[in-house]
Amino acid sequence: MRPPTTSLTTCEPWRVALAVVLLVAGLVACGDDGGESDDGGATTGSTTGGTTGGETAMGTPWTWDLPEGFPAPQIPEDNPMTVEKVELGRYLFYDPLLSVDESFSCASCHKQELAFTDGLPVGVGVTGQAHTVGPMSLTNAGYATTLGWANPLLDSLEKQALVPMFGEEPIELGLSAFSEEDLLDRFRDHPDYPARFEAAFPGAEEPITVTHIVQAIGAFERTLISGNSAYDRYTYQGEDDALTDSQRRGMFLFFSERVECFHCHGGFNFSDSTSHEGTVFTETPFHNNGLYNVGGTGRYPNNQGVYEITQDDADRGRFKAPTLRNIELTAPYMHDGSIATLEEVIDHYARGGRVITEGEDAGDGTQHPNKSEFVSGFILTEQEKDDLLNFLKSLTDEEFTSNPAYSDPFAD
Amino acid sequence: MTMISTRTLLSVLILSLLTSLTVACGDSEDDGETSSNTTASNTTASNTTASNTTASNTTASNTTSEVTEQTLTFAVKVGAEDFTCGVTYTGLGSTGDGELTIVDMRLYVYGVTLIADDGTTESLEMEDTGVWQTSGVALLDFEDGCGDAGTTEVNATITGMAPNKNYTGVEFSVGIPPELNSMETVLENRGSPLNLSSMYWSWQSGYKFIRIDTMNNFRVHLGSGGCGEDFNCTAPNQPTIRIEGMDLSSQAITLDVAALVANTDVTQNTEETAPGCMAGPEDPECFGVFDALGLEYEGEASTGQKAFSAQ
Repeated sequence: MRPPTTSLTTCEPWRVALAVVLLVAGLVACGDDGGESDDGGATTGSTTGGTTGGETAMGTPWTWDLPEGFPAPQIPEDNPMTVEKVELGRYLFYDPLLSVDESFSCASCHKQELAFTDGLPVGVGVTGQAHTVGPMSLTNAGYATTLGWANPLLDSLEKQALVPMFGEEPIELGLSAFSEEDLLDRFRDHPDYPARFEAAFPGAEEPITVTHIVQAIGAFERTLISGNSAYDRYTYQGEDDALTDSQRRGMFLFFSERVECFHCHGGFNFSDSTSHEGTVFTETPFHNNGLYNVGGTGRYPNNQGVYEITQDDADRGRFKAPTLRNIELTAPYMHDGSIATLEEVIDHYARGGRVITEGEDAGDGTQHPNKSEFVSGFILTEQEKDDLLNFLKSLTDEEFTSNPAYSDPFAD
Repeated sequence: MTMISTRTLLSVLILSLLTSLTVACGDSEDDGETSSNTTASNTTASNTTASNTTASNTTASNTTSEVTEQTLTFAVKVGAEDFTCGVTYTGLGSTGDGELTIVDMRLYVYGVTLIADDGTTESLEMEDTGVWQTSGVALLDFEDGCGDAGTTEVNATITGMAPNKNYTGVEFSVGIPPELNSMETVLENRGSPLNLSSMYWSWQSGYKFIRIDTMNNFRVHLGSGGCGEDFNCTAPNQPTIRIEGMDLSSQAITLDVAALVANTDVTQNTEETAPGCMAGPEDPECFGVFDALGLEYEGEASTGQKAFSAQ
């Protein structure tokens, strides 16, 4: 009945508190390791660079300034973090040069003030083609085990970045419309980028490559860490009055067996699709939450979830449980933005799925054969619903949405 | 303390890596089989003459024949007509009145085996040209940039080394070797032709094996589907084509687009499916295309490939 990722397995408040303490202890330990192997990463990097040592070929090693209670993200061995690489990634993330007609950047669909979502139900790319899913929040993207709503194959930010860049179904940045060389020429001929690539990939024979573009963007995205919400201040920073009474009651509901939110949205990142440094076992969980069941066939409109990748009927309608951090800012909700507000999201889970009575998507999602056993419904009083809603809002981190380090460098 | 042990561990790792590399090199020098063969053709790639003494020496123990450069020629036709980028062809598809203006026409080929008249087979060791061929994969490109996408360069041949025999047949796979069919390959920078972004199949984390685009809302994009971790795919979708009884010097291995779509209605597209056939599940426009390529689709076995022939 319980997914093994969470350590919070009971509704009794004192146990929750104990578990949180244990979690903090565990994570702090991991964080320390992270700091050390960050240096180690630099050593690895200079080896990878193909030099015989001696030079400081790597650039300036990145130092994590992690929120209290947070472990360090996992860093791919071939993409160690450096200050210069993160800076290059930030420029690339915000630069429309990275779309076919120079009209879109990553940030067009991932806006900082909306926790790096765009406020639309589904994404819209350079050609105006509407996607079948919405842009995911990049809150704590560096901790996500898999990227995207429902793709077990996208297991690194570097690989993920290739999808919006070159994907054609749907078209996002539309870069497959011309050759890779033409894309790279944009940066080679630029007054500033050659030096930025050189600094980010010192000693590389060819600093400006697609690999380096996605590595720099990945490095920048790994820094997008949100961990200073009211919940964090209450839980990890000892600010007893950071949460209101209503939010505290909502927190106990959230972590209760009665409401079951935490089974899929558990752990420090409020998502069971989370890994970090020290994670030994990688989980790539996906869940069907009873959103659709078109005509009782189990079909979903437009996007079938993990089924699109695996073509296995058991994966129809299974999607990733995204982090709930900053969830207040990322409306509308669900993979296709088909639920407008958090109130309605709570209603959806209280009902144990969604029943659509008319139209071409009609069907009883509560009866979907793949529906998660944790989406079985619950009954809340109006007060309890308010409390849960208020708790979800306590996960909003304004420092994250206003952090200048994450902002548009071209606006500086 | 941790620092030291991390570094120690690293040097041990590097040492063991170096050791294994040395061993691997030693091996290939000793037995002189495929790997050194590939190396030999690499080093002589710039001299495209047939007198390749290094290569023939190293393979002398395997075969009695001398190893020479072999060239395979490919072509694309639409029925009886030669394919030209941007030209509109009529009378296509199951309805008999489909029209296609084709603006992209590219495919990857690997695993080429030549079939000799004495019944023996020899694998063609592709040269790494870094242009049309790398890592044992070749790109055949028949579009000349007439559409929005694509490149002006074209390529209709595959070159490689094989023992000098009288070949009368060929077998090859359309696609990318499974171990390379991943976005990891992109990140590894293996160079051309594996760095063509228009051939990435990024949402499935691999490559498009065949890319045919038209101005008629009908496309054929073939790639692996149903893939899990480690790129084990329930629908690898990599056709193996075998053609016998052909004259390699005068005939071309020809892909006939008319035959490819003969049993598909190219005049319409089923709602909520990709335009044409993009190898996704439950797409009625895929049954005929897969059948013509000799591939199973949705559990339905192919009646045999009809798309390729020697002409």
